[in-house]
This record gives sequence, structure tokens and C-alpha cells, in this order.
Amino acid sequence: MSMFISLLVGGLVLGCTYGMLSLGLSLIYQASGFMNFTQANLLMFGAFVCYQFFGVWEIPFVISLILSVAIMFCVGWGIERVVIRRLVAKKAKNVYVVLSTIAISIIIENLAMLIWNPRQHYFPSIFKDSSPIKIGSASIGKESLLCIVVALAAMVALHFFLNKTKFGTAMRAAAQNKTAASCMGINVNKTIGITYGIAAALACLGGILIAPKMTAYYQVGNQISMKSFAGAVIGGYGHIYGAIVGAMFVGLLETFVGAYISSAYKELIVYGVMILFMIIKPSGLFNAKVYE
Amino acid sequence: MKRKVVSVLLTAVLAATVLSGCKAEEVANQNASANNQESTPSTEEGGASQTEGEAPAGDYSYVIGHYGGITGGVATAGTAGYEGIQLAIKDWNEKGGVLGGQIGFEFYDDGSTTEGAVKGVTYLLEEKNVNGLISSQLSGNIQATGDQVEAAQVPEVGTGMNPAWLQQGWSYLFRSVPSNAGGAQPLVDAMKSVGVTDLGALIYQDDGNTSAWNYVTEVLDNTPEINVTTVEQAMVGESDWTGTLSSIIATNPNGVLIFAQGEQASLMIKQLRDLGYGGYIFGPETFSLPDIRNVAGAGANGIIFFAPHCIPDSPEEANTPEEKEFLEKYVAEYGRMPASDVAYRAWDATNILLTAVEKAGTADGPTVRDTIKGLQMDILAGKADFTAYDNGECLSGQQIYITHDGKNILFSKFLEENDPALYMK
Repeated sequence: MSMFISLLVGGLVLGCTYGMLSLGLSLIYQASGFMNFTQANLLMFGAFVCYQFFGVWEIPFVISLILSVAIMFCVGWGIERVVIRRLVAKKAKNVYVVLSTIAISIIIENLAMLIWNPRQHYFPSIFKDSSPIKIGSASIGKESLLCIVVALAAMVALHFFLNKTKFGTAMRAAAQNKTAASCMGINVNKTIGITYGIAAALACLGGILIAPKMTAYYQVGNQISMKSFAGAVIGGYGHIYGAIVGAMFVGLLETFVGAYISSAYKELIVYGVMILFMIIKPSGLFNAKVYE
Repeated sequence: MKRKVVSVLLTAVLAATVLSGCKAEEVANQNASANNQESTPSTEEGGASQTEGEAPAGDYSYVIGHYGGITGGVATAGTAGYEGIQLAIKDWNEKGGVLGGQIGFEFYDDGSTTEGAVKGVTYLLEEKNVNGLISSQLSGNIQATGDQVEAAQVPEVGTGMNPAWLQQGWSYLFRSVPSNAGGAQPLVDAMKSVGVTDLGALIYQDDGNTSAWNYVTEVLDNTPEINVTTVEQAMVGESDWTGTLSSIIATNPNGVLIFAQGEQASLMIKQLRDLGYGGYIFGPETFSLPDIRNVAGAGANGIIFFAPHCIPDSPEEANTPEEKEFLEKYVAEYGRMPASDVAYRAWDATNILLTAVEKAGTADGPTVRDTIKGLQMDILAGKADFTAYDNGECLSGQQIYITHDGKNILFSKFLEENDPALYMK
């Protein structure tokens, strides 16, 4: 039983991290119709920014987290405003916009490598007493629990923002029909820009929460990125709740396969399941509109 | 207006963060290149070094080439190796160099990949015409490039610890450190002495660690007192092992062996401790990485590992006068202690190569190779004696260390002062 609890928590930690990225991917896809490859490196950069505040300058963790998330929100918005919006305005083909996100991603990775060097940077323990918590006979790291709690809180907050606020409603309206939303007085460009900002902030949050477990490292986003894409596909690409559920599914699947089958097969199984979904149920668990 | 103010403030904070990071890195680079005539490394993955004011190779009496990873998954060790070589060359140059002139340095960042290493060796041999090579610490990369080095007749002193690449019959390759084959028996002896009866294992699937594990397996096969409960694989590129470690714990071992590179091992140990395992952990030389204690904190206590070198916390705590002198020079140059023992290996490798060049009195590859074969000298790893081996080795055997009370100490000393079952939980 203790092994099951440990695996459940471990799987949820991974699932929540993938979920932060998947959520961003789905938000952006829904708002703009583009795939976005910057998320993984925004996660990495966000972790580094927080490392700078918390690990180097020793600013209290909560303040470091808030500052980092705010900064990365601006970075995400800036990317949309400076690059994506201009390409769209010039009526560039979709593939060019997607390629631009790949280019931005590489630039971010190289920037992080130049600023903080290519070595792993060990994120200080968030808690003074880092000994694990006992749940029955299972031991759970405090940072793992924090990761799950904060990620779930962020997801619930996003749900309320999208459904219960005027701006959230405007965002959803713009995502469904840009022309109609524009006619209703909604500033579509602004809503898309803010969507990119929220996606970057979510990625940053994911990076900060996983950093104590995986360190701040310029390639930390790469593995997480591929799994978050798998989560988004399994949940239904572009579906916000599907992204979360799909990511949780991937995190748990990966962890349980590693424990009960073999670590050697977990990648094979996770991506095998993704391919199966693409072929058998491309709309994913939440029936997202993925057909042309 | 408020929004603009907030935006400006956040941009300013980000700029300060970035500039602060850059400044720290610039200082590190300045320290690394100060007073050196050799090139500074490119930080782009898979890149050759670009030099400001680099002199052509012909201006040096001897040029050392080095391929290694200052980027990629094991950049901590790679950077330490790079720094160890630079420091040794600087030391020689300050004493007048070799063959009547200064020593040059060419570097290729292989990104810690085999493909990068092959490109790097080609670049160093064909583009830069280096006279001698110091390898990466990654044995797989040394093995992948051995044929090129042999064909070019350029002597290479390697820092990787896998015995395999010196068993290929190559005559231009040498090692500056004992191979990890010598660590297996003392490590298993240490397991027996603390009372391990059931051992779970997690092996990172790279060349060096799988090879080192094979040697331990051979010893364990002849050790009926220890039962191996499970052997799990950690795939290259992974960073979360919750599932695998949980399945190891589920087999109720009273000892866990982890063979991985230092960067991965530190996270594995932290994750293993978070899952509630409090007993002894056994590992290879990569466990001497100081960051393991930084990451795992108190969880690092009870780690037993073999290593040719174990970095103390300060030069004053060095085990020998030679080590103290090296560490003092290192701290004076870089402002900190080495982050990995690969710095020791690289320092030794460079000194072996340059001592041979000095004795040979020529940069000619075959002559320098033959001189190394007859070399006997004191290095940080001990008394190197290439005449005692016929395949490029110069040392054998390993020391066993334990992390206890936050310090790495000799295991024999620990046993003298403590109950062997102290961490047996």
C-alpha cells in the first residue's frame, strides 16, 4: 500500500508539471490555432529566474515565485506581441508561425545557457526541514505535496478566471469566433496576448515546482515538453480540461510502468499510447475538435 | 499608466536578473581564461573553441587538444576537466613551457555526446593538428574515437574509468587514473562489513556505469552472503525515477546500489531518501561529486563509494601535500574548489603528457608514446607506473569512502570510530 501511495504522489507530481505545460499548449491552440514550442523552455527559464531570486539572492520563496511568474507572464505576452502577432498580421503561413516558436524556444535555451551556464543548478530546499512526511507507512517529500497543491490551485483558479470573469468570457469568445468577438467589442489581439502570457506563467509555475526535484538546468524542459504534448493529445489537443486529465494520465502511467513493468519500457509505452490515441481516438478523452 | 509602471518594473527586474547571471558567468570565464594563452571555450553545444587573439598553432612548441562536454548532461564533470587541463598548462607555461616554448591549447565542446566527440577529435586532429590529446571523461566517447587517434599517431591520455577502451589493443591511448574495475571488490567488501544481505540496484544505462556494474556483478556472483533483490535500469535523459526507486524499495533491500553520473546520482539519492529509504547507498567514483551532498543534504549520510580521488571541503583538508598544492592553485585560479574529481584526472593527464614530451625532447607522436610507456611518476592519484602494465594503464585499485556527518571520509576511518550498522535501517 505504501508503494502505491508513493507512486500515486510521484505520478501526480509529474502529471501536474506536464499539466501546466499541456494547459498552456491547449490555451494557445484554442486562442490562436497555433502549436507552440516555446512552453518547455519557458518552464526552464522560469525555473532559472526563480532560482536567481530564491537561490542566489535569497529572497523569500513566495515572493520569488510571484515575481518569477509575473515576469514570465510578461515574457509570454511579449513573445506574442513582438513575434507572433507580426507574423499573423503579415498573413504568414501557419507553418511559419510554428517555426518561429521553435526558433524562440532555441533562443531562450541558449540565453539561459549563457546567463546561468550549462551546468545543473541545485534549487535550494523550499522547506527548512526537508525530511519527508509519513502518510501511513509511505514517505512523501514535502516539495512533492507542495507541487500538487499549488498546481491544482492554479488549475482551479484558471477555471474560475475563464468561466466567472468578464475577461475570461471574452477570451473564450475570441477563441470560438474571432470575427464575432471583435464585432462585440472584444479586443481579440489583447486576449490572445494575455493567453500567451498565462501559458508562460503556467509553464514558469511548473518549472519552479519541479526544480527542487529535477534542478534548474537548461535542458530540463525537453523531457517534460514531449510528455506534455503526449498529455495534450491524449486529453484532446486544445481542450483545457482534457489537457489536465491527459497530463495526469501520462504522469501516472509513466510512474506505474516504471514501478511495475520496467523503467526501460516507460517511454515506449507512454508514446505508444499517444500514437494509439492519435489513430483510434484523435479527439482524445474529451472529444476535442481536432479534425480539419 | 499603472500598467505601464508595472510592466517597466517587471522588465527592470528581469533585466537585473539576467545581467546578474551574466555578470557571474563573465567573472567565471575571466577567471578561467586569465593569464592563459589558450582559447576560451564556446558555450554552444557541439562547438569548437573560438579565441580572441588566438595565435596560430605554429607559435607554440606543443599544442594539446581536448574534447569534452562543458554542455550537456554531464557538464559539471566536463567543465572540471576542462579547468584542470587549463590549470596544468598554465602551471607549465609559467615554468617556461616545454621544448623551449609555450604550450598551446585547443578545445572542442562535444556536448557530452559520442557524435560530438567524433567531430571534435576530427576537428582537433585535422583542422588544428594538435600534438597530443586529453580526452573527455566519458569512456564511451574515448572508445568511439580510439581508431582515429591511433591512425593519427597522436598520444592521448584519457580520464574515463571504464577499462574497456584500454583493452582494444590501441598503443597511443593511456589513462591517468585507475580503472573502475578495481572498485568492485572493495565496494562489495564494504557491503559485507556493514551487514548488507539484500541489495537492490539502479543502473544508469551509459557505457561507464553498465561496465562498472558488470564488474560488481562478477564479484557479487561469488559472494553468497549478498542476495541481489532487483536490478533496475535508469534510461539516459530521465530525471524522475519515483517508479523505479519505489519498486526497488518494495523488494525490502538493506542496501541500495546506484551507478550513475554525478548529476543524475544526486537526484536519485534525494528521490530515494524522499521515498523513505534510510539505509546504506553504494556507488561509484561519481559519488565524490560535492554537489551530491548539497542536493541530498542529510540524506547523503550513509553513502559508500569507491573513488581514486575524493574532493575535500577545503585545500587544508587535502590528504597529501600534492593534492593540497593542486587545490590551492585551483582555488586561486577559479575562486572555488573543483566541482568534480575529473579536475584531478585532467590535471594528472596533462602532467603525464607534458612530462613525457619533456623527457622525449620532441613533439613527435611515436616518440612521446614510447616515452609514456616507460614513465614512472607521482601524480595525484598515486604512483603512476606505466611500465607495470602493457596496455596504457598506470594504476590499479580504488579507495573506499563514506559520507558521514556531511563529510566524505575514508571508510576504514569510519569503521574505526563508528558502529558499522550505523546507517543500517
